[in-house]
Amino acid sequence: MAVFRPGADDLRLIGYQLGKVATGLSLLMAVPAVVAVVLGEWNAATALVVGAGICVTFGQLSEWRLRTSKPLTWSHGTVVVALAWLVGSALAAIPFLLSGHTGNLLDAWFEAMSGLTTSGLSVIQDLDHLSYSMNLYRHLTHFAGGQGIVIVVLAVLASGSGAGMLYVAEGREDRILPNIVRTARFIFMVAAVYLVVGTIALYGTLHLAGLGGWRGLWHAVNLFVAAFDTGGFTPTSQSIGYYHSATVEVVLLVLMVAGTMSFALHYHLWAGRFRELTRNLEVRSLLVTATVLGTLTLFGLARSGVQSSAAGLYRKGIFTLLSAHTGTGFAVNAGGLIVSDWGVLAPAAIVLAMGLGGMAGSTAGGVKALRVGITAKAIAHDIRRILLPDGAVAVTTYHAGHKRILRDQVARSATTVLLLYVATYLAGALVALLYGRWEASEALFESVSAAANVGLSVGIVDPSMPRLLQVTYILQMWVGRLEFVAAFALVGYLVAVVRGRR
Amino acid sequence: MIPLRRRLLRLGLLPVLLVAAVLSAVATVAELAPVRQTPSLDLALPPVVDLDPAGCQRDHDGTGLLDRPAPTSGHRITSELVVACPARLDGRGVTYVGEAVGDLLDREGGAWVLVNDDDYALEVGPLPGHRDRRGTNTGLAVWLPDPLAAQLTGLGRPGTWGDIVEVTGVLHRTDPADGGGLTLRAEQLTIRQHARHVDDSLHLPQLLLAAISVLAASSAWTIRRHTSRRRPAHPDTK
Repeated sequence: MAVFRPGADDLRLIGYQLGKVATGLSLLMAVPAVVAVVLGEWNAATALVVGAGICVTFGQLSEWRLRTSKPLTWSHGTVVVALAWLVGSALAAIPFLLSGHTGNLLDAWFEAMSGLTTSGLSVIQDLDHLSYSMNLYRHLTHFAGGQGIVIVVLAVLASGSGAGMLYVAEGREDRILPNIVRTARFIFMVAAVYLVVGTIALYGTLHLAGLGGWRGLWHAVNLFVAAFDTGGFTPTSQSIGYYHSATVEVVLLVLMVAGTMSFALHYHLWAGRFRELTRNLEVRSLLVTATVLGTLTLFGLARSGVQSSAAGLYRKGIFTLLSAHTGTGFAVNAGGLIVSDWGVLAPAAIVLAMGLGGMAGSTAGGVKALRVGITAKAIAHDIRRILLPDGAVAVTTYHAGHKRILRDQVARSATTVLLLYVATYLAGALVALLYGRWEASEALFESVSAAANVGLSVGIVDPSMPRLLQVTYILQMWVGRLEFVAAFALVGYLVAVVRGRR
Repeated sequence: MIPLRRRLLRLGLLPVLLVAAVLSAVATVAELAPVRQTPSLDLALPPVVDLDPAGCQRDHDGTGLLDRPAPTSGHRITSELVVACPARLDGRGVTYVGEAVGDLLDREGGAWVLVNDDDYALEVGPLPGHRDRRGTNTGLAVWLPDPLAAQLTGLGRPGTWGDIVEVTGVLHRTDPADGGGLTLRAEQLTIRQHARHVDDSLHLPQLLLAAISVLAASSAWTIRRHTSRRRPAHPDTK
């Protein structure tokens, strides 16, 4: 099959769009830079200014040299999005690199990719002494990535033409409103309302937990961003276990679940269509998997004799399970305990929950509840077809916003992506196993956590981890966030540049 | 005339090389951070308890080792050992040394505090006051009754090396008072070193880089603004 080589004008267009992403990132760095100046954290301020300055320079140079009115096509969109996460995370790594809390460029890139993909795995060293502004910047990478770098650009620097291509290419299938820029702004509006309500709720509960004043507010803002964007970074090294508060955990659970809901579902709820909650395939799918896996987690924990009280089972078991299932990755105990003290069944349920992930069109990663639901429906459909008489027509429907007929192509697409995720989980685990330092269960746990953009860790992710494994996790986070299509398109594009015909 | 293929590769490679060059320059500046004298912790700490974490790792149920108490007398435990061997140390009286960091979370009758015993706490001091990076933080949640909590003079935070405390108490693998969390309930507390400020003086090469990047950004913005008024979008694309 002949592959057509893209022309110089195609690359010009891609570079031009990437420049916009760089400009968007500079805004992300500007906010904590102001905080740094206010708090007198001068080294953090200069680190953030360097990052922002370089991003603006790239953005403006690309606009100067590469400005184009060529329309964005589907292939451009996918390549721009795939590159946006790679180039964007490299640029976002600059402040981390200068912070003095990362060992090298790879560590800084890992942290930035983890933040932007809302994974939450961290290699920041001595986090408990990291400056306030740099810590805020870590959490803001969740916000930018969770709402989508491209979405940030759409909303702030709305380009109009071709925006829909970028939106869909980023793995967001639900176009909530007819106009894509209005959709992006709706997403921001939802996030803003939750920001106000969620931060107030968190501040109140943190105050009750003994953490008031401006530090309480600072924790509340950071925690909100990490929970609603299903990120998983926290201001301290002990994650949510630091707060010793059941009420804080309850508020975070609500925010995590809200974050893992698709923005389309949020739109229905905002419009007062509450019946969508009971009919939506994703909601049902998520409820079933969370119930089954939650039961397994509780059973596993109870059987291992670790937790005997109801409070312990809920606060450790259910919180961790939902943190995994929503793709957040908040921890209520040291990750090592999951390996050393939780038996076998509970960690297995958590790995499954991480792998399945939240809803499509949300900030969560993993296979996604929609695909799980569609695959289950497709299996049921096939069984029905076998049982029906010859010549009978079996029609299966599902509800996602409105009633839809389950077509073969949709079912095939869902199962293909599901299999790709499973292959990615296994590939990452195999790379870890090559080093012979970890058990298969640990290797699989960490690999699934990275590829499903969760962030729970049993201790493999560490500044001293092997470099090849670190790069593997970076690629897993990237591919997992893009849900494969854009990443494959980029590879195809590179092949076309080198080998294609005009 | 340059062949199209080469032109494309050049067009694609140039930005990659540019980003790589910029990141390399930034990485170089990051390494130019002044190497300050490593703050020393001039304390004689109790020896670490002789317990092999590898022997605990496979004890998933935790029941087999309970009848073999860890020899904690006269020794201190570490958070790493506790996480690796929670069942073995459950309910034991232990000694633990570390830096009190973050916040004192006041509750009825006492307060929770995080006590880190990593190298930043007990050996080299907090980042970014030096370049001797020793990995991530590790620590234990410690419950301090009110009289003990009142003894603390400073907590580890950005710019502060918190109190180094020696805590004697009972370790709980699943503390019912903390919803099943792993905690150390303190009975005695001694401050081995009071909190101190950590020097983080202005990093001049970084300041210079910031000035250059601001200059570059404003120049690029000015040029782009100036030319976009005169020049339409690239003719290739019409």
